[in-house]
Amino acid sequence: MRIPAVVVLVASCASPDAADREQRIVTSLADDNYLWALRDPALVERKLAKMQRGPYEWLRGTANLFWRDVMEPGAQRTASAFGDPASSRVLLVGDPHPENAGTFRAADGTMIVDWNDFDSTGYGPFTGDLRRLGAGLVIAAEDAALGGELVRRAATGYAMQIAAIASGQPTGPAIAGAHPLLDDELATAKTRGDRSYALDELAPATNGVRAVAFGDLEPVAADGVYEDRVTPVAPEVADWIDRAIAQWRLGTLDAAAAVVKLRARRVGSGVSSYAAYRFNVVLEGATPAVDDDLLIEIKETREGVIVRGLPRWSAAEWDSPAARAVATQRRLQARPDADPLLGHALVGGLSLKLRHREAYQRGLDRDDLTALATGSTADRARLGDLAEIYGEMLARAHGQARTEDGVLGATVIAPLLAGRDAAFVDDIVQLATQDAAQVIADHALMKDRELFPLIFPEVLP
Amino acid sequence: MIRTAMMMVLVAATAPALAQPEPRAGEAPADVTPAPPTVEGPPSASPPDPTADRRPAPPPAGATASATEPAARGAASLPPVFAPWPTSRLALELELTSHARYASKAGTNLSELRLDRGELGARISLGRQAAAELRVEAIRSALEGGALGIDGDSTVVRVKYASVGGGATFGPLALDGAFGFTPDPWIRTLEDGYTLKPLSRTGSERLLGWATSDLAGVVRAAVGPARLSVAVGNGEGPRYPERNTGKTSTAVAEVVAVNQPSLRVLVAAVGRDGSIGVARVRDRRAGGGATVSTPWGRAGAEVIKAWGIGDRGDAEGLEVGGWLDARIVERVFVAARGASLGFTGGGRLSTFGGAIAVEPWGDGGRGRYRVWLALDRVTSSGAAMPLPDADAGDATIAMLIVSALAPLVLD
Repeated sequence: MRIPAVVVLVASCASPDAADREQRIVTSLADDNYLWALRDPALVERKLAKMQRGPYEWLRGTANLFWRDVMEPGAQRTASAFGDPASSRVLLVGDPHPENAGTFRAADGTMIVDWNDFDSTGYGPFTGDLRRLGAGLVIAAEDAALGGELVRRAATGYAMQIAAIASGQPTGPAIAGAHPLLDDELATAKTRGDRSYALDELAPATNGVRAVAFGDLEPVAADGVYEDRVTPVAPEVADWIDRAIAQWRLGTLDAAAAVVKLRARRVGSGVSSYAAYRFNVVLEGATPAVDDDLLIEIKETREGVIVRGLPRWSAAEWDSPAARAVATQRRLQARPDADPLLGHALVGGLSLKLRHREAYQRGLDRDDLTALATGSTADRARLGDLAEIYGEMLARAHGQARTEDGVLGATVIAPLLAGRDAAFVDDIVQLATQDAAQVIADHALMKDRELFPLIFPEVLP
Repeated sequence: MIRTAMMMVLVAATAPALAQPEPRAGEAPADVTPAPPTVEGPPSASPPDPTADRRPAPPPAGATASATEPAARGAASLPPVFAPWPTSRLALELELTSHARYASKAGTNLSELRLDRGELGARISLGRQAAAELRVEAIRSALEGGALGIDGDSTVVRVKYASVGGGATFGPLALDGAFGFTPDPWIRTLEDGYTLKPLSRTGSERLLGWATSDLAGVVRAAVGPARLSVAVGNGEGPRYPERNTGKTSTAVAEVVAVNQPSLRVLVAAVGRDGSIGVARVRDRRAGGGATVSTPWGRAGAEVIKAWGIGDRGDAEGLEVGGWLDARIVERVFVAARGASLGFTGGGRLSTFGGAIAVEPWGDGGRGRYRVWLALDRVTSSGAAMPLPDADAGDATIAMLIVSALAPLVLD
């Protein structure tokens, strides 16, 4: 027997930490934005510029990176003492940072505050959602010590609310009287919604006729980012919109009320979904008069959080990403009728979510939280109260929604926390603070880079 | 004349896309003695490979041909070490594996039917020294666990191999190569000796995410019992086009250490250096493996050290895998396999399982049809757990598997 020598190539294996992290960020952003970059590179470039504005914007644009860091093996990750297989299949909001909550006008006219972004929903560990909320609070506070306290309040509120749900106590959404800041938001939303503020802003009526106000409703920012731009749609896109409305209106509006009067594309809102298609559509409403016209938003929806590594079906339980977003919104919100016009459609390969776009739905603004954080002692105390409400709101979403196994979330979360509330709060504070530090470090690493050519060299002309 | 191919050779066929057609039934090369029977029939997933090893034609796994009686063989006529360039005008192959699965895990169990593998390959000779190959595979069009498929189709077909190759002999030196979408040399080496594809992908593919094919050029040179294969390609596999300016090089060295009618031992070593993705995440590998075949069974093992795993450039690990497939009585087989990836930073991800299989019908060695009853267990620990210290993602999957390998050759 004769065994010749075998040539084995062994390469150098040095790998600096910063370079590794940059690679991971670039890889994640490339995956998240690749299709959008092929379709509309200029818009993705502006999205990346928007993310570079600050750590909070960076946090908003990197939800998938966060979940990868939380769930993917290959590097040391801090373990949590509060989890098990059953509680790793809780229905998640996916990206519950403080700006992803806002006001709604339910079908009976009640104004409520609840989570308002369900693009990233999916099943996963409940602690991940709470960490994400905590990281958002820390960064919004712009003060590490205060941030830690806010996370503590949020985790405490979460634990208390989970216990309440598990014990059968009735829970409900945040409504007027819950917090001064929320009261202001609810009042503004109600006032503006009642007078069709959003509709008139997009398509003001003159002599009984509406016309879209194309152009920049807000000035373009110094960094070139469109803040609120309205543009016409091409005939092909108009056809998509009409087909989506035709699918969506069944069971929601009669044909006469769903007649499309005006269409426009709107760019500027959001960070993570900045480059997604967003169309505003004016519908006829109950009568031919312009007073009861309806403003609907049609938004392109992609896959939610794909939590890797856990055994599950090879396919999702929903037919499309928008179907997921809609179904999970109804399950996670305190009121399934928080948006009576909520629905979805599938047009070719586009999965579209439709919602009421009137000013009843108004998102909370991180600047308001930062203002409280930098305000008086009383303001900081109010911010703490708000953090607790956030925690309660997340607990209510998790606790009342059924998990992937078909049981109420509270039934699998509450046993883990029972009698260990203080340790749970400490655990979340530690993890969320670490997460926030990672976001801040990532932003510092990438904020001055030319991100687009770094991430999409092959998309460049 | 249309004739169906006999079994593919076991030993590594690393370079160009197409697998060497086995000597046809009753047409074993005059200078060779039948080798040990393959346990899984044609072990290669691909159509006849113009550059695959020309090991003597093993009889069908269930057959009781004289090949199972080493003593009857002529000691003077040993099987060839590597297969010569095939000259059949047309070779087709279908490879299908369907699973009925029941996954037992924490919480609600899962049951589902899935097409684990569906491949169709074709190779057409262009004269006697060149050939073109196309092989397509069925894949799910959405992410695992996702909902967004391509135009609503749950399953789509994509190119696995698409290449033009050629071969020539210069005295003791046999050269061949291919260009295009070519099989990864290492995965091809493992798969050509790996008879348990219906149960699980190889450890390299399943745990390290090693792509089965790539847009690459492959050259292979064989002298005596040794062969060296070198591939230079994008490194992105079938999922992406080139995403960075670097190229990925893979070298596989094989040596047939024992080449007797009743025992064949192949050892191989691999080295790989490259990068993937726009971030140029390192993709470096070094390792080796061995395959042993006898008339009654075959086994293999691999050990791979990885620097950069998936899209984590900072991840390092050592993957160890092994498998065994043996015929216990006529048409009945038992199999066991396992693979484990230990991360340098802590934690381990493992899969292991076993099966019993029957071949209810044979076709004289031209194809292979098996029904398997199998178990697959997935575990993880430490930092390799999806949720450290909380959820290992453990699952035990019971599977009823039907697999078929159907070659067709037109001379």
